[in-house]
Amino acid sequence: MMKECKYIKEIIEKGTVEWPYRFFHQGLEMGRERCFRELEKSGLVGRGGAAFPTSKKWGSVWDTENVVLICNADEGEPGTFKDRYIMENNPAFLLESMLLSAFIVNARALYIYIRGEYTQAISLMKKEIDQADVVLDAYREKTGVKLEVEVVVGQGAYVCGDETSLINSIEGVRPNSRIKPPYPTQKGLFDAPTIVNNVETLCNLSLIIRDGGDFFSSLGVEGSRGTKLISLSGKIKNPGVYEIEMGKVSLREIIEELGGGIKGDHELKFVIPGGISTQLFVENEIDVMVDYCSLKQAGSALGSGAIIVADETVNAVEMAKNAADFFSKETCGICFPCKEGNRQIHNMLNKIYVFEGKREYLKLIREISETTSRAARCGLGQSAGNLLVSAIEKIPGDFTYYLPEIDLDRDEVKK
Amino acid sequence: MITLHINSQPIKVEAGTTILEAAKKLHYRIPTLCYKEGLSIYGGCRLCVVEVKGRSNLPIACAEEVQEGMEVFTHSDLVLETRRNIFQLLIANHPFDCQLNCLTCLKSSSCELRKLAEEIGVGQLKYEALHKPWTMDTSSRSVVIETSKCISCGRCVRTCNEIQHGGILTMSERGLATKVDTFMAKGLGNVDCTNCGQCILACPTGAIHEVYHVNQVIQAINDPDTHVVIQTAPAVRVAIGEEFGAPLGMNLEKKIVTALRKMGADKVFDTNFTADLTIIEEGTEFINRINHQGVLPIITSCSPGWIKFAEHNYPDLLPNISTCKSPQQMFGTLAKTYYAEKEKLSPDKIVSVSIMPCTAKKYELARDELKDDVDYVLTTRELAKLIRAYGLEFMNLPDGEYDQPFGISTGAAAIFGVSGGVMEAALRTGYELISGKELEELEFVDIRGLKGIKEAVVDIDGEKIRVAVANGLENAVQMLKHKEKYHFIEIMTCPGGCIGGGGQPISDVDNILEERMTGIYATDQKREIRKSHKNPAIIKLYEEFLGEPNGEKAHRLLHTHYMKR
Ligand code: SF4
Ligand code: SF4
Ligand code: SF4
Ligand code: SF4
Ligand code: FES
Repeated sequence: MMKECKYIKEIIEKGTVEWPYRFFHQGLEMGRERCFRELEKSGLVGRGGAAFPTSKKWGSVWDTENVVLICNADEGEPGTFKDRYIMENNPAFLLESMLLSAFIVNARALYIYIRGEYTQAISLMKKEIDQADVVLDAYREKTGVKLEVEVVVGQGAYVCGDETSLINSIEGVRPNSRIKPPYPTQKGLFDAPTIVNNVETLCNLSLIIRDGGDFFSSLGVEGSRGTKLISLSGKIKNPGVYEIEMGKVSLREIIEELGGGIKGDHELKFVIPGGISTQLFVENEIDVMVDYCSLKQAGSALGSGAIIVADETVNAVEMAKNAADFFSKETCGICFPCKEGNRQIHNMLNKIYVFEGKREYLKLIREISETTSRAARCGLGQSAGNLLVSAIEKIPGDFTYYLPEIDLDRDEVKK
Repeated sequence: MITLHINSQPIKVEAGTTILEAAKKLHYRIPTLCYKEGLSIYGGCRLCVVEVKGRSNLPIACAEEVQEGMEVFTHSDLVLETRRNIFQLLIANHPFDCQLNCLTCLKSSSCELRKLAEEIGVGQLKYEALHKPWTMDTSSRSVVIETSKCISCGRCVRTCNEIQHGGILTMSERGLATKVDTFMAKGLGNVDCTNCGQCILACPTGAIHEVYHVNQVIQAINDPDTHVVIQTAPAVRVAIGEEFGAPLGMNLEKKIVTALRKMGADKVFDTNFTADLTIIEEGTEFINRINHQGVLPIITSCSPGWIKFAEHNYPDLLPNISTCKSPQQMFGTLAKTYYAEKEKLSPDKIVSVSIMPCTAKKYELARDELKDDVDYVLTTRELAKLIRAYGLEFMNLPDGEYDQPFGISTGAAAIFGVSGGVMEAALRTGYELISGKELEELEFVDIRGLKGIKEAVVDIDGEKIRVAVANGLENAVQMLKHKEKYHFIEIMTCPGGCIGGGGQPISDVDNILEERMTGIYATDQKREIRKSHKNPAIIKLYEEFLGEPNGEKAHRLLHTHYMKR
């Protein structure tokens, strides 16, 4: 039986053994240059979904004044709950990692943007910050900056997972994406250079400082260094948050060994490996290794690590319809292909679901999804069609059931 | 300089140039919809996508800046297909329905969607038409929003914010319900909207338009019991021709007169007459304030959008604003008093109609303190509608002359239609009244032109009078930051002044304001009398009826007051 790798999770669950805020103090002692060198060596990439090299992002504001650091805890994607897990189990560890990161990027302001529904996480983080005077004093002694740490409660828009939307939301304006460039690192919150990173990404900083970048990068595989928290959910015996070493475990192993296999007497039908913006895999595709590159090569993505497992009782059309409902609500409504594309897809799937679909719908859905992936303004729109199109392609039977008059020809759907 | 290739042709442009601008230099037009020159970039419609070698998704030309060595394709197969699909998606949410809205749409003759359909090559709906429910905001006296036609391109929102300092419109709701609305969905009539109508000009789809008065006017004309008098504003005559293919900027006042007469108007008068009258009243007010240490700077009051803007945003400045009614309202008053007496007509038989470049005039006529002087306002666009409705071959009509007694006007009145005109007219008169000398050089070039803020210092009898002119409310706000510097300020709500009014024809000609302006100044040039106080009909009006400028009767009839809102 495979054992869960517990690299981050150990700290999250047990706390820092020696003394609180130890990694933070260690970082202060090392100085920001040395910390940054360790980060570069580590090969850490952002854990929010975009997988952008963290050192590259931070390097771009290295010499800039007035940097703002935002910790993105707006975990809005269905099936993702790892950030919540961190905040609820060890808020001190997250705060410590945030402060350490703020120190490295030389931040003047530090925010944590937490999803509104996470009431417990919000109060825990607030409490932690209120008690952090001593640490903040140490920060001020070292840097001369009196750092304010502010908790911002999210307004419940999924698109705030997009950095620029999140920045707009903190500024108190309509949370839609901004045109890039300028990138937030050039002109972000109230025009200050701004770094936005996910909760899990920042937590990794503490480990990199503890063990050194070289050790961190010895974990995982090329392009996917370190470990990854996985939110495992769906028709599975043991849903929950797990940690894996990237590139060393297959999707099947995660499901069968960590998740304990499918619940009840059922068969696995498909797996969504990285949240509802990613292409699904059917049973014979899940021997793929779980890391950024392998999943990409297999035609999907790791996203933020939300693995959703479906058995044969799950209807792909219903699932697709729910995803379309979700995106229709969550599109920020600014760019036409995303807003109107989701309107159309939503309409078509809802019609299919009540047996009023038409033959050409499946082709149109694919076409819209392609247009949107090429032309939408932000990641939400660009990836909104991935799951639906893969469902149509890989589980055509579910769709033909609702479109009885159609003799579905896969080539036609693919066209 | 940066070198790149667009459709395999090399071009060198400055750093910071967008792909859209660079392509234009090579004479490629990339379709755009949410982009509008002079406004911030929105990046919403995505119709301007282009292919850039080495990039997997398609960047948008309106926002993406050129980079060294870039290879851009503006019309590759991939681009064309993507553009067609985006357009298909957008058009499926725009209502063409059995209410024949397309045929009667404000944009029926200038529809940007139609032009795009042609450019992009879309002939047939591909996706199912999914219309928004048919809702309208009719709370305003000037401007209607037909939400169902809105494609949420944000052009109105940006115009209102960036040009008019308004912040009246916003994108509300989210997801598929995203739409244009007013703050808290209160409705345009219940917020601080100035009724300027610049949002109408900005809208590509006819989702925003004026409150139409056409039908009421036709009814009044056809009613034998009413006596319909119509006044026409200075800026209308140089723009109406755009609707009928005339050379740009051509003054067609004589054809307007004939057209209105042929429709059955009882009298056709010229607002220019009361523009001259405004100069006498406002000029006298100015001189009095200078001589008696009154509140300075004095600020003009002819633009009703500005008045409402000031009532909301500058209550402290209300005493500075001239108490003169606008020329439209002065006219309305005189038509129902002086004219009625003269012609022995009962004032309530008179229906007073004005043809204006302006949507805010529709609001002005309904202000409590001005009520009943003017009954209907038609915009220039509505005049064109009316001309078509009567089946008149406008450009072939013979010339006609305005009726008396409100038909004679000066060149000074003609230039009321352009930013700086009221000031120039006032200076022509003020100079002579104060100094008693004849003004040789009539053209005050410093305050001419389309610049947002203009300034001049005029030497009148050794006294240095400092004046400033602003057009567009954002410019007005900027200028008012230094208001203490000036004695006399002209503010016009709309960019360019009334020639750029929210009721003017919607044009896709880049320099249309310049063309209209040229037409206005040419009119002034051609007038025999070019100073308001030399207008013989005005002199007679004071002798016969009003008495002294700023006198008791003039004050009662021609002046008004403002309120903090
Ligand atoms: S892709 Fe969707 S969510 Fe992103 S900017 Fe466009 S409309 Fe908004
Ligand atoms: S009429 Fe003028 S002030 Fe009113 S919403 Fe339109 S642009 Fe803004
Ligand atoms: S009302 Fe017109 S200008 Fe405003 S967003 Fe809608 S379509 Fe665009
Ligand atoms: S804006 Fe719409 S309704 Fe108006 S003419 Fe164009 S397509 Fe027709
Ligand atoms: S014109 Fe460029 S995105 Fe609309």
